[in-house]
Amino acid sequence: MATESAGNPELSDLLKGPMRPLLKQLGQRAEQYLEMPPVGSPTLPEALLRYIRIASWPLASLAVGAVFYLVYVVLAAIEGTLNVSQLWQSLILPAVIVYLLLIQPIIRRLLAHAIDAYVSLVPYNDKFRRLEMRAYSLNRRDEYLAVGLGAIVGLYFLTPPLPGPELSTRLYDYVGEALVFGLVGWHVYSVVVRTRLLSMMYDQVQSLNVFEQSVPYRPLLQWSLGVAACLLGALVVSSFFIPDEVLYSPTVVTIYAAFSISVIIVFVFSRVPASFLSQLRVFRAFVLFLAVALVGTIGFNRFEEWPITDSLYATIITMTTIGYGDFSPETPEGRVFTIFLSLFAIGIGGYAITSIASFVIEGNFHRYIQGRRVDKQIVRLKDHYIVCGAGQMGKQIAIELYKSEVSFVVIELSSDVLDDLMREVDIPYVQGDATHDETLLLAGVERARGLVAALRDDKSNVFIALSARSLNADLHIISRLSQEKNRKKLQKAGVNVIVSPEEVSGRRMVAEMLNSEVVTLLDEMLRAERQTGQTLRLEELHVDEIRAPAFVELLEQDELHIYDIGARTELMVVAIERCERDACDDRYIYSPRGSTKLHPGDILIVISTPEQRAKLMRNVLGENKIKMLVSQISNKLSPV
Amino acid sequence: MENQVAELKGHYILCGVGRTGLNIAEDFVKRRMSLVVVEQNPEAISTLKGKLQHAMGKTLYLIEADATEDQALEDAGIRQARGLIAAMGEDKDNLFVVLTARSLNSRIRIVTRVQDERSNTSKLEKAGADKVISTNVIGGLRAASEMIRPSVVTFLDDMVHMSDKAKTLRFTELPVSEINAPELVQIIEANREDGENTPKLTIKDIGRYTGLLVVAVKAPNHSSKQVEDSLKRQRKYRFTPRGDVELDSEDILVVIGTQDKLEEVRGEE
Repeated sequence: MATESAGNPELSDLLKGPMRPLLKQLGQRAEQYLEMPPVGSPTLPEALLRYIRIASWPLASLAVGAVFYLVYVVLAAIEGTLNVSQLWQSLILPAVIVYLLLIQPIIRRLLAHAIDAYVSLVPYNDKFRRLEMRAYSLNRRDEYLAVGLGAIVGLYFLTPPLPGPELSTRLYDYVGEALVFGLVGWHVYSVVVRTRLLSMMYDQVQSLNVFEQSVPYRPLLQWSLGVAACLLGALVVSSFFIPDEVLYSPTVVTIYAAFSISVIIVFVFSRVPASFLSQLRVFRAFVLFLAVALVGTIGFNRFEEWPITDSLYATIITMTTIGYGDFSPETPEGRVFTIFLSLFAIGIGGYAITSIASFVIEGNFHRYIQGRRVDKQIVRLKDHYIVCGAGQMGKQIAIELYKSEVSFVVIELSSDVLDDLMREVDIPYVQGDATHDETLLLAGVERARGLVAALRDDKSNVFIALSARSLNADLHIISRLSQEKNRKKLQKAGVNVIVSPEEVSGRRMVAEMLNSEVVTLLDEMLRAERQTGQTLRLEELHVDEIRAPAFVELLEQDELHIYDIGARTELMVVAIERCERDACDDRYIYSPRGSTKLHPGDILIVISTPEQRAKLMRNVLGENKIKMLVSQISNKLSPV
Repeated sequence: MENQVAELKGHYILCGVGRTGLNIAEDFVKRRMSLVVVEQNPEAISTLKGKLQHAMGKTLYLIEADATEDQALEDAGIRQARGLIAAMGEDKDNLFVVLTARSLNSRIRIVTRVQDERSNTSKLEKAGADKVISTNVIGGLRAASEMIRPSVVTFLDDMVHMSDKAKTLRFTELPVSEINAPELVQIIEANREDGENTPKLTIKDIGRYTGLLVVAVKAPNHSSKQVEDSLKRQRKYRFTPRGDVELDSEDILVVIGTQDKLEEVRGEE
C-alpha cells in the first residue's frame, strides 16, 4: 500500500531541477481545475456544499470528508472500540466521498468546454439555450431521485468492512455507504443526462450546419473520456482501501462491473462511437451486443460456475428476453449480477435488434411516431393560441410565444419551413393548409383562445379569419396585413387586431431616428436577453381577472396592496394603468410604491421572467389548469 | 427641386420607399419634418406621389436615383443631413447605402432595415448603422404581444409617443458608484466608516428613496481567470432580486425609472 516515494532521491532531484516550471504550471492548472467555477443555478451537491460557506471547493470537499471521519473516530473512541489496525481500511468511505466531491468542478469544466465548443459553431438559439441551461442546472427532483436510488442500492450492498456490532461502526457504515452511493447515483445520473444533452446539441449543430462540413466530435470525445476517467478513478481510489482478500469478492466485483457499465452507457449516449464508425449504426449495435455478451458470459461463468458455452447461452437468452428458464442463477451474487445484466442487456439487445431492423426497413418510422405524439399533445391543448404560417414573421411570433411559455400550435404547409423552425424551437405543429377548416380543427380552433394569421398573402389571411371566426365565435383573431388597401376587408372578416409589420417597423425606425435617447423598453429587454440568456418581458395583470380567494377578499375590503402581489410572485410592477372617471390623460402611475392600493379596473404592467409568469397564473389568477409548454416539451421524448 | 434640396440642413434622408418606406415618409410628413426620399422604382414613386402629393416640395423631396450610388446620396445632401434611414428590400442594398453614407458623413445617425436578421444584423452594424431593425422581428413581436399582452403594447406605444420626455420610462444600467441621492449616499458613507456593523445598502433602500425599479443586479466583472463564456453569462446577472439583497459598491444595477427620477438619482440637474 506504499504509494508515496518521497524518499526517492532521484525523484526529488528531478523535482527541484528542470521539471520545476512545468510542475508549477501543472499545479496551477490543477488548482484552476479543482476550483468550482462560479455557478448560476446550482445542482444538488453544489447547493449542499454552499451551506458550508467555505469558498474553496477542494477545502470544502475535504472538510466534509474530515468531519465525517472525525465523528466516527470520536464516537469509536468514546465507545472504546477504536481499532488502530483498521483505521486505514475505514478511511475508504471518507476518501471516496472526498474524491467524488473533488471531481465535480472537473466535470463541470469539461461540460463547459464541450458546450462552448458547440456554441461557437452555431447561432445561439432558444433550443440550444434550453439544452445548455438544463445541462448546467439539471432537474432538482430527478437529482433527489438519483441520490435516493443510489443510497438504497448502497445500503443493499452494505458489507461492513469492519467487523463488530458496535454502534459507532454501524452508524458509520450506514451513513457512509448511503452518502457514497448517493453521490455515485448522482454522478451517474448527471453524467448520463449531460451526455444526452450534449449529444442533442451535437445533433443540432449537425442539422444547422449548412455547409455540410463534419461537425467535430472531439469536444464530445473529450467529455466522454474525461468523465469516464473521473468515474473509473473512484474505483481506483476505493481499491486502495479494500484489503486484497475482499477485493475479488463477488459483491465488490459486481459493484465495479455495474459502475463500469454505466461508463459504457455514457459512451453509448454520446455520439462518439457513431462518429468513429461514420454512422454504421448496425456495427455499433453489434459491438455493443458483443461487449455485453462478453460481460454476461464471464459473469455467469464466475458467479454460477457454469461452463463458458452455457454462460454465453444464458446471456443471449436473457438479452433477447426469450428466457427459457433452463438456466437460472442460484447464488445471491449471481442473482444480483443477473439483475444488472438484464437491466442493461435487454436495453442493448433491443437497441441492436431495432438498429438492424431499421437498417433493413429504412423507413421514416421515427418521424411518423413523433408526428403522432404531437397530434396527441394538441388534442389536450385548451385555451391555447394558433399561429398560421411559419414564414419569416410567423417564425418570430412562434419564437416569442415559445419564450413566453404559453401553449400554442403552429400550422404550416411547407415541410422545409417547418424543419427550419424546429431547429430553433420544439413546438407542436400541424402540417397543412390553414385555409382548410379541417386543418384549423386539427389545431383545436374550437378550444383555442386566439389565432394569428401570419401568411404573406392577405387573401389567405382573410380566408383564415373567416373560417376561424365561423368555427369559434369568441376567438381573438390577429392578422398580418401586407397591402394597406386590404385593411377594410380584414376588418370585415372579423379580425380583432391588424398588424402591419411594415407599418410597425416603419414607426419604430422613425422613433429610433428622431428620439434616439428614448430607447424603448422592449428593445432594451431584447438586448439584455441576448447578453444574459434570461427572458424578461413586460406582462400585464388585470385586477379584474384576479381569482385567487385570498386576493379577492382583500380587494373587496379595499385592502389589496401592491406588496401583497409582490410577496406571492416576486413580480415587479412597472406601472399601473388606471382610468378614473374618464380622466385618462395621465393614466399611468409609474413605479408605484408597495403600499399603493389596487382597485377593480386597474391594469398592472409588470416585468417578469417566464417562471414568475407561471407563479402569477397559479397564485394570483388562480389558473391551475394552465399547462406550461415547458412541461409538455420535457414529456416529449428526444429523437434517437 | 434640386435647388431646394441643396439648401436643406439638418434634414433626413430615406432610401427606398417600398411599403415600409412609405409608412416612414407618411410619419415624417405628419411631423412636418424635412425628408429627402431617394428611390428609382417608378411604381413606388407613383404610389408615393399619389399618397403624399400635398407635401411634395414643402417638406418632402424626391430624388429619382439609385441610392447605392454615391452621387445620389450627395444630391440628397448627405453631408448636411442629420439622419439616414435605409429601408430598401434587399439587405445588400441597405448594406451598401449604410457603408456609403457612413463614409460620406461620419456623424450622421443611420437606421437601417434588415431582412435576414440572423446573419446580416452584425454586418450592418459593422458597416456603420447605429440601429438595425428587422421588420419580421418587430412585426412578429408585435403580433405575439397583441395576442398575449395587449395592454403592454398600448403602454409601450404611449411611452414612445409621450410628449413629456421627463416622464418616459428608461431601462438602463446604473452603477452603484454613480448614485448621488443624499439618503443613499448617507448609507454608503456610513458603511465605509464603520465597516461591518451598519446595515448595508439593500435593494429596498433604492426603491424607498429613489422610486426606481431594480430589474437586475450585475456583479462586477472580474475577468482575472479565464472563465468560460457561458458561465460568465450566468454569473453576471441576478434578475428581479429580492428587497433584502445587499449591494456592493462595485455592483451595477439594471433599473427602470422615469427620466427625471434617473437624473435625480445621478445628481444631474
